[in-house]
Amino acid sequence: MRRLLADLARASCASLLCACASGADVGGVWRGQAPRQGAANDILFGPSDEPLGIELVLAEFGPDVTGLLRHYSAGDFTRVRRAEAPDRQCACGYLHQGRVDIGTERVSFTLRGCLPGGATQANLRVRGQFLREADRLVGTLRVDEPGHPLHERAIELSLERVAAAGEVGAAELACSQPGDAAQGNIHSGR
Amino acid sequence: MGACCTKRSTWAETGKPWRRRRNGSRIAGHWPLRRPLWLCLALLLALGLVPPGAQRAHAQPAPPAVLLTGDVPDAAKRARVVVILPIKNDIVTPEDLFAPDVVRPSAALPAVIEATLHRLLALQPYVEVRGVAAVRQELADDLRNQPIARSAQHQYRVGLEQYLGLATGPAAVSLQRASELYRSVYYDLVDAKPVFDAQLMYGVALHDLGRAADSHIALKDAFLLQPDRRFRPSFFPPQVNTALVNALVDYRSSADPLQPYGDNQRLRALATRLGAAALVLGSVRPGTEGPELHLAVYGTQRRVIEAELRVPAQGSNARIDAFLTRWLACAPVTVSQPVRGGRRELRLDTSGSYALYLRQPTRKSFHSLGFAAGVARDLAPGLEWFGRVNMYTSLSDPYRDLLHAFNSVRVMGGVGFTWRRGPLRLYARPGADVHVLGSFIASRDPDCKLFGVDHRRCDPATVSDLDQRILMGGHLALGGHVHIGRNFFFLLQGSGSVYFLPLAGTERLNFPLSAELGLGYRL
Repeated sequence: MRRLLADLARASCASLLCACASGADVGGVWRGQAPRQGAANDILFGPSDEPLGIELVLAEFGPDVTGLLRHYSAGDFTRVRRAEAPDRQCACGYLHQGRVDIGTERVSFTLRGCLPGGATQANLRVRGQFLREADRLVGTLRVDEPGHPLHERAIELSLERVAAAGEVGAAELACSQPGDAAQGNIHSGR
Repeated sequence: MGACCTKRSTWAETGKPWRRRRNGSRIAGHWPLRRPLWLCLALLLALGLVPPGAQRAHAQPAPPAVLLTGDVPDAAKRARVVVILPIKNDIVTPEDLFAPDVVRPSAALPAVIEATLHRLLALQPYVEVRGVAAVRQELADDLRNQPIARSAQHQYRVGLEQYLGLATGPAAVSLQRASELYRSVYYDLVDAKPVFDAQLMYGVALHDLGRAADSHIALKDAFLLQPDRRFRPSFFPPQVNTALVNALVDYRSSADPLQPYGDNQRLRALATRLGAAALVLGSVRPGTEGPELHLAVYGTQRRVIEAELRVPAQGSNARIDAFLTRWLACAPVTVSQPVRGGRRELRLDTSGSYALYLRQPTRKSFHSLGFAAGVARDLAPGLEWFGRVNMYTSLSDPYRDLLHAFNSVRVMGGVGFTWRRGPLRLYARPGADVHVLGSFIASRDPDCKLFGVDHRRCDPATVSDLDQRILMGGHLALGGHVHIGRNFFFLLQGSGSVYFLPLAGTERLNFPLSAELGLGYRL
């Protein structure tokens, strides 16, 4: 009986919370450019002098977020996406342990995979911390791999929303299967 | 049909239901048997019950009786509990008040009349008679009454000791309290003597206190309890004897002989306590040509004195028989089931419905909206069976742990216990609940939500798949109908279920609560 009453109270509170709560609205497609290779960026860059395009696809489910991070070798995102594109090497990686603080609109997640330019054949852990500011996501990607030369290296990014949560299609969620890291820099993140 | 016609024609004649008869009896709702036939026919014509040509055919044999709307079939009639209360003996005159040894032949009349009433009522159909002895026994054995009666007895003793100790003021308080306690449990019907004694001594105490007016009222009330009480001349001082005589004279001249047990409110409470449909009460009083019997019937349904009789007490059996027969012919019938138009009611309703689950695999409650249709039919008074179908669409929760909205169907059935008062009809319906879920799939893993449950990123262990599952369990609904005119009614209902089958599955989704608001129709 006590448990039933507790369930009833919980359900009532949950209904009230649900009526008042709203999400941080970080879902959708966010795009931005990594700075050119140099002192401000030595972990994410393309094979040429052209800046690397970053695309973050986020889906928000209450306090959880998930999605993927995709790298483009072209900064204007004009290339057709195929299995080997936008970048044949380190095309994309899934987000892990994604959380969003609804109050502060702060998003955090972890990536596990290679980094185009900086660590093309390694399988690094990278932590992402972003803050939503109007229609922009501003934050950093920081390598969290103790023992690796890129450990604690970070890159600051400013991403702009190009698609809302409801406009994300199945194509944006496709990410090629991870290959064999030992064979070279041809696999995406896991 | 004859009774109906008789009743209506007399309404038309007199314009009021009460009509004093030549022999002194008055019957509520009763009219003389000899009435103009044309008046009956005219009334029936006005009601559209017979065609115009039937006026010329009134001499032909009557067709077989059929039930009219509102008539009650014999099978549905239930015996009315008629309780006979002790007949009061008001024969004692002021001259006899201080002559306790004088025995008048009329002293035995109340017992004779009580026996006559019992015998005659027992012959009537659909009547369950309870005699004076049974009523006394029932009230005396009532466990609720016994401690109050003992308290009253204690108060009386205390009051008497205070009075003898010359503490007259406190004595009056105690004696008044004793009298009130006795009467609150109707002890004046069980044994009037101690109640009378308490009231009498209360009046005497008031007299000693110099409150003559209050004393007079108290003593008069004492005679209402036991009007045939008498005293030895030397028991009280002369001034108290004078007060007693004055009180008796006043009582005999002003007390209503048809209400020897108080007003209708007290009779109603007594009838409720005894479970009686009617109370037969009365008193024997001196008349111009010998003792007269004043008889009345209090009906609990109308809550009024339904019939009255005033006849010479000697040889009154035939009059009493006629009186009782006429009263029973017009008294409301007690039916054994809710009857409307001579059959059990069937109720149909539709309603909008909202539901949520107290136990669910999602972190936040998801809401279910839908509609319901129900049917219920009376089985017996206060009992019905019911069946109900609810169709819900359950919407995704705020965290979207419920992967997509789904539809489900609930079928419920069982019996209902009903309580009706005026336009309100309340019920409690326990029963069974069978819930057929649609594609119910839930997960708290955001990857399952975004990429789908078949994706390699989705951990199958986090998925609650109750797709097409059937849950079964117990159900309880509490609600009510408010009749809004003709045969329509509003419905408001709250319900809950507990699923216990299948054994695996109810731990993830259980305890649905629902609320419904709708409109119904009774057939």
